[in-house]
This record gives sequence, C-alpha cells and structure tokens, in this order.
Amino acid sequence: MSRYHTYEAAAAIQPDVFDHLTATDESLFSQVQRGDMHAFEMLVSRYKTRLYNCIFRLVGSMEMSEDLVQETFLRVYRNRDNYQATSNFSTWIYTIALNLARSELRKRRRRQFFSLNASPVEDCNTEGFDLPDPTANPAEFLEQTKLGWAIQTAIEQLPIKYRTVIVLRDIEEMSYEQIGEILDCPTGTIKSRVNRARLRLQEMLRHWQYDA
Amino acid sequence: MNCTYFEKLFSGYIDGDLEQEARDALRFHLHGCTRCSTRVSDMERTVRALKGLPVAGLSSQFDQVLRSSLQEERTREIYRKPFWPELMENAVEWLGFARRRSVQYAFAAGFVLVVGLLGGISSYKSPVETVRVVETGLYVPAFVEPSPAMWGLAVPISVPLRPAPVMKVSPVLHTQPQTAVSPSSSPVMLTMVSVSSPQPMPRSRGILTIQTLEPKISGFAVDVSTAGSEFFTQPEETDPSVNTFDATGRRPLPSASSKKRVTRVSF
Repeated sequence: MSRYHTYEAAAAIQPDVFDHLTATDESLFSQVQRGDMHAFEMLVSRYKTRLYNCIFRLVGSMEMSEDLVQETFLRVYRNRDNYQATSNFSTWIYTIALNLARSELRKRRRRQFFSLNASPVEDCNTEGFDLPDPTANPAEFLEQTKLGWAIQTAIEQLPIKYRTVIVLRDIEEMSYEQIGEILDCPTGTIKSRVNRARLRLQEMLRHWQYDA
Repeated sequence: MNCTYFEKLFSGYIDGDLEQEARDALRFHLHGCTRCSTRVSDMERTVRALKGLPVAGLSSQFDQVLRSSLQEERTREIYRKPFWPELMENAVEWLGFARRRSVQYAFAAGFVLVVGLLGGISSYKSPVETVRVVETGLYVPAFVEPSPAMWGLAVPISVPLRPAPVMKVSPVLHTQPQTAVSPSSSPVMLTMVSVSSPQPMPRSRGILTIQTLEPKISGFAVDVSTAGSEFFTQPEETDPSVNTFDATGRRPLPSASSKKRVTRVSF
C-alpha cells in the first residue's frame, strides 16, 4: 500500500516523486502554483502547438500567432494564482488565447476600417466572397490549389464569431459543451453558430474538389 | 417543414448529435430533396477537409523566447512595486499612450463630469427634513425654510428680524420635555433643552443656528443685540435628584448643577 493516498499528495510532500509526464494538466498547474517551473514547461510543451494552430487559423498570420501564443503563456503564468482548480485547465488556457486572438482581430479590423487604402467593399462583404476562379488564370490557379490555403482563406472571410466556433469545433475537435464554456455561451447557440459557419464555408468552397 | 428548417439540422446530423426523431425526419427529407442531400454531403466534405488541415509548426526560437520572457516576468515579480505606485505609473503610462485627441477629450470630459457631479451631490441640502413631533412622537417631513446660511452663503445681514419665541424658553433641564414652536413661517417643532455658555455674546447681528437633539433645524434670524439678553440667561437651578430627560424622553441628562447641556450656537 502506498504511503500517500494520491499522487498529488505525494508530490506535494516530495516534489521529486511528481511525474510530470503522466500528470494531468490540473495537477501540473497546481505544481506551477507551488513554483515548479518544470511543470510549466511541461504544460507549454503540451499546449503550444495546439494553441498555435488554433490562433493561426483565426488570425492567419504566423508571426502574430506566435506572439499571441507567447503572450498566452505569459498571462497564464502571471495569473496562476487566479486559476481555480474547479475548472478545466484547457478551457482556461483556451479562453485566454481566444480572448487575445479576438482582440487582435478587432484591432486589425479597426485598422482596416480607418485605413485609406482599404476598400470598404472588400472589408465588409463576407457573404459574396468567392475564391479565385480556377479557369481564369491557370498559373495562379496552380499556385493556389492547395486545399489548406483555400480553406484558410475561406475561414478568414468568416465573421469572428463563426470563425471561432468552426476552428474550435472542426479543427481543434472540441465538444460543444467545452466551446460553450470557453466562449461563455449556451450550447444551443454554439450549435447553431457551427451550423451557420459550416454552411457559409461550404458555400465559399463549393468550387473546390476536396476529395481530389 | 421545408428545406430552411432542415438546413438547421445539417450540422447535428453530421456530428451524430440529433435525436432519433429529428434524424429520421431529416433522412426522410434528404431522400426526396436532391438540393439538401447535396448540401449535406458537401458539408461533410468540408468538415472532413477542416479536420485534415495540416498542423502548422512553431519556429525554433519559440521556446527560447518564451523562456527568456518568463525569466523577465519572474524577475519583475520579485521586484514588483506596491500596488498603488504601480497603478499610478500605469495610469501615467496609459495617458502617455493615449495620443488620440478623441481619447484625451473623452477622458477630460469624463473627469470634469465626475468632479461636477460629486461636488453637486455633496453640496446639495434638501429643504425637507424629517422632524419628530414631540406630542405625538411621530416623525414627519417638514419644510425647513431655506436661508442663505443653509446653503453656506455669506451671512445675510439684511435678513428681516423675527421675534424669537424659542429663545424665551428657559434653557434649563426640566423634568418635562420642553417644546417651543418655531416662527409661524416654519411648521417645525423646536425642542430646546439647555443652552451652554451663559457668557455674554458679542452684540452683533447674525444667523443663529440652533441644533437641538432633534434633527437639525437652522437658519433662524435673530437679533442677538436684543434677544441675546433674554436668551442667554442662566439656567435655573433644578433639583439634582430629579431624574431629568431630554425633550424626546430618550436618555437622562446630567443635572444643571453638575453639567450644563451643550447646545451648539454658532454664527
């Protein structure tokens, strides 16, 4: 019989016992709250790629996404004492990351709105967006036929609220309940947003032969 | 139920999240509607394509940059300033960054508004006060005649003189509550208990503010030069053994011989 009832209890008394590889996110973070930086590094390694992908799909810029992921981890560290163990760690970190990404998107939209060079039609029209016609310019078409590029471009044309849910649901493959927690919305609202986002995406990507 | 209705169920159908009844109804509809059937299969392909998107990789410097940022953060935590100085510093910094005119104007307007509101609220004095009628013991709202002194203005030398029946009330401690009626223009019942300082007051005119044990009533214009002699009479000696009460009958007062009840008299 083990001397300690739980792994966390053992780790609290003997930090060396704590197995960072197998520990849950929550117990790792409780270690971080006790000042264990190794646990924080473990959390970073678990989440950095997921967060980066999620933010990149939302924001569309690699450099900006990387900066936002950095900022997310810094905020997590800064607010480590505010985290309540009752909530899911992944929900918490995604909430922070998405808030940052969405505020960045809003800033960018404001900049575009005030920019003299930006065309208001391009910025505001999300309904009538069409991807480039494949037959119009074959060279360009060859350059742009990557499905990933097409989907990414289509995602970026969606309004922020639809973009967020589609990324969380279909790229991050989260449950509706978790998305609802992250965005602080009822599950029914999330379901309906996902449906609308998918319909819009499908409309935008209707010319593309995905399966090919 | 038409196509628009079923369109709302597409996502749930693809995710396998529909209830049996709704799923059966949609399936039945899809058998008969080519358009919806095509859209559902298109949506399925879109979802599949989204799930199959390649995973982007972070740059090689990511970990190093994050580590140094964390180190900075930890150092900052160690040398963190106390809350208020830091807040002030941040506010100053924010003001420095608020370069846009609109932000500055909005901030200035907000500041002026807040200061004005606070000043207005603090200087407002309602002319209606609640007073306690001694006879009935009830609290009733009474309109106190506004006077310049009430609003903190200069002493109004030209305020017409009024007889001061309240002054005639012997300002001593009584076994019975002593009441007096204020001038006829004011319906407020005044309760006089005692007056301190039998010293002769300077013979000048002014606004005499009388604060009784009841809610404050102020602003009686009196001529101290004439009324003063009557008003500031020495209290009569009372029997110290008699248990005396104040006008409201709430608490015992010290006897006149031991300690005189202080009533604020100010000019």
